[in-house]
Amino acid sequence: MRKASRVLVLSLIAAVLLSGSVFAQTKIVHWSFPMLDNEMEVLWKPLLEQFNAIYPDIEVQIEILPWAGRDERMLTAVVSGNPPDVVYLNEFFLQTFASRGALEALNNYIPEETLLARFPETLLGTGKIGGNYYLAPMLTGVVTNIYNRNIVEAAGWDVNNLPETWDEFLAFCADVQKWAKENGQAVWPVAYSASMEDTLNMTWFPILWQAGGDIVTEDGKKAAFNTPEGAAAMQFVKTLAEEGYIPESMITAGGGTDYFIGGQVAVIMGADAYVIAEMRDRDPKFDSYAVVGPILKGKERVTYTTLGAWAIFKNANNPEAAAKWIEFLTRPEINVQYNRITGYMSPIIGAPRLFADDPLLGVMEEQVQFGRGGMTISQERRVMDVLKRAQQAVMLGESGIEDALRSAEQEVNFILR
Amino acid sequence: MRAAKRGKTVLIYICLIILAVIFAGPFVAMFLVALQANPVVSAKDITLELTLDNFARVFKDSRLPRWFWNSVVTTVVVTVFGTFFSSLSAYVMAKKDFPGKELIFWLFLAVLMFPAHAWIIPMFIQMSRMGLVNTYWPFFLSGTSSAFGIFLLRQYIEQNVATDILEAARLDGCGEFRTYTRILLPTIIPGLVTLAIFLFIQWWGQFMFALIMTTSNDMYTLPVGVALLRGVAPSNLRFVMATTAVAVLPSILVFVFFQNYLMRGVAMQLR
Repeated sequence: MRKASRVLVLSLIAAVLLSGSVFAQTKIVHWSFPMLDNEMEVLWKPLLEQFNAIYPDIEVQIEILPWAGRDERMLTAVVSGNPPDVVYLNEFFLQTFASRGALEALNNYIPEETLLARFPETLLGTGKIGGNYYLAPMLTGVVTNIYNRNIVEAAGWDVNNLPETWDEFLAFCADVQKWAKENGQAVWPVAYSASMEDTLNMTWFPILWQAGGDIVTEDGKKAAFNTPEGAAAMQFVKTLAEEGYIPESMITAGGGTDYFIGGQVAVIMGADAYVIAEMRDRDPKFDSYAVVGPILKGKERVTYTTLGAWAIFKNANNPEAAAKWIEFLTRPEINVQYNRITGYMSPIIGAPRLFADDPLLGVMEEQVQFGRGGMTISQERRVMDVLKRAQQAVMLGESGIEDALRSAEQEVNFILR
Repeated sequence: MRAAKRGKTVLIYICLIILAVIFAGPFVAMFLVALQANPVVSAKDITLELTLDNFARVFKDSRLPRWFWNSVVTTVVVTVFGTFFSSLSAYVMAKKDFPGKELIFWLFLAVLMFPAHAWIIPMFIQMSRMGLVNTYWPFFLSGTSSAFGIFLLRQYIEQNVATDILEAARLDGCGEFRTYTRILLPTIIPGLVTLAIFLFIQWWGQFMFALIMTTSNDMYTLPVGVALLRGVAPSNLRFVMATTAVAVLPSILVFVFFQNYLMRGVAMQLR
């Protein structure tokens, strides 16, 4: 009897141990940054349920960290050799981590054909170094121009026929200025910020790209903006300032949304979905007069798109499981589900329109095709600061275009040396 | 002569009022925005239509109570034990002679010279290897050994505790620890309170250390939680300000009630 009970106990123990090994879960840690209120419940819980229905043996632990201090948090994790498996990165972090060899090439785990079938090459290429893809795009957003319908029409323009090119845009500015003067209106044609606080991704860089120029060379080792194209882009913003097309205070203090909401400018340049949300918040009548205009064309029609993407850290505990999670998240139907909830735009090829019913975001969604990412070098912020100063000096008339670009080039080359 | 003196006083008061407005302005603005009934994006949107709803939402919709608790636990433990351990070390540094004392003291001071960024990664590696990340232990271990506290109390003990009293206690049969508890501690209470206030304010508002040592929502302290909420609802300024107001209120109260000790502490460091 005693022997029988021993056998029974041992069998039970063996069964428990066996079942433990059969159902042992691979655990991965995923770092994300806050996108919305009650994010775990609204966003991640349903996604995890769907993922675990396919991969019951992989446990994903979502950790949502604050945006503030994220550089330090991620760098500490990488340097200490204890990073999470999956992380949310913007394109400007690519070099910071890739140059330290801290990221896994996604194409080692997800077939390149799968990635190329899902994302436009321009967007996927933002996360490409040396033939390897490091970023799996998850969300995007576009920077555009928002016009005030009332002022546009008063100045004799048609909201269905807004400026498409630089020349048309400057002609529009002249018309608005003329109308304002003739009618004694305190209205400026454009809200364009050259404040040191505002990112050039939303202001001068799109203009530089439209001129056919670029910020740094493809290898990221030298400045590329001191060119005729760079000079043309600088001349464009100088004209806006010189002709009095923008409120003077905006050159140093920004504040374009105040002018736009106050009905004091005809168009605000460099607006994204976040800016629209802010203005909608402030003015319930915003949609009645706001119109999204075309992306301007100099030599090219191009603008800046934000890129939010997933990446796998090199020291990930379970890179294979992490890749399965990323492959799942970037499936078209899952990506659309994610962006429908977070309010961003989907970077997936052929994704259904998420904002078709929104008169502003709906148009912006169509403009994503003209987007490109920003710099992916680790010195991105320092290079941008140099160019912010150069732009401001030119617009304030403190420096000539040639001098500003030349000295900025020297400074940037020193930073990139 | 009297008019000139009065003029000088008026001028000093005007300067003080201007400074008070400059320093108190952001706090007033924070509470004002937190109490607004309507959405606020810029200063123009602030009205006198006030409500407590934003504070109610902070407690209802966020993990704030949990973060508040984490901040209370970490700050109270660090403040109590940090003050205690600092006083022990400071006593030895001020009143005992042993070989290498000055060198050890200068090593303590050297710790103060390093910016947090220089030691936070080695500290994280250490905590991570000990399996203490996402627990209260990194706060306890790091916070209860305060080089600043040792420096501050050593100064205080040297200036306020006569060696003769300690020797007299020993002659009366007091052991080392009894001398410390019965004679030294009661004499240095103002210094202990000053250090406790400094530690409280420092650790209640500690962001970077808490951010690096925690990744779990349940282990965040208030500063990290507030930063998280700011990311979730950057356009909802009222909500963000209400959360921030709750987070800074304890520090403000400590400052208001114990400002004399704080001033004394600053003066002590300058001596």
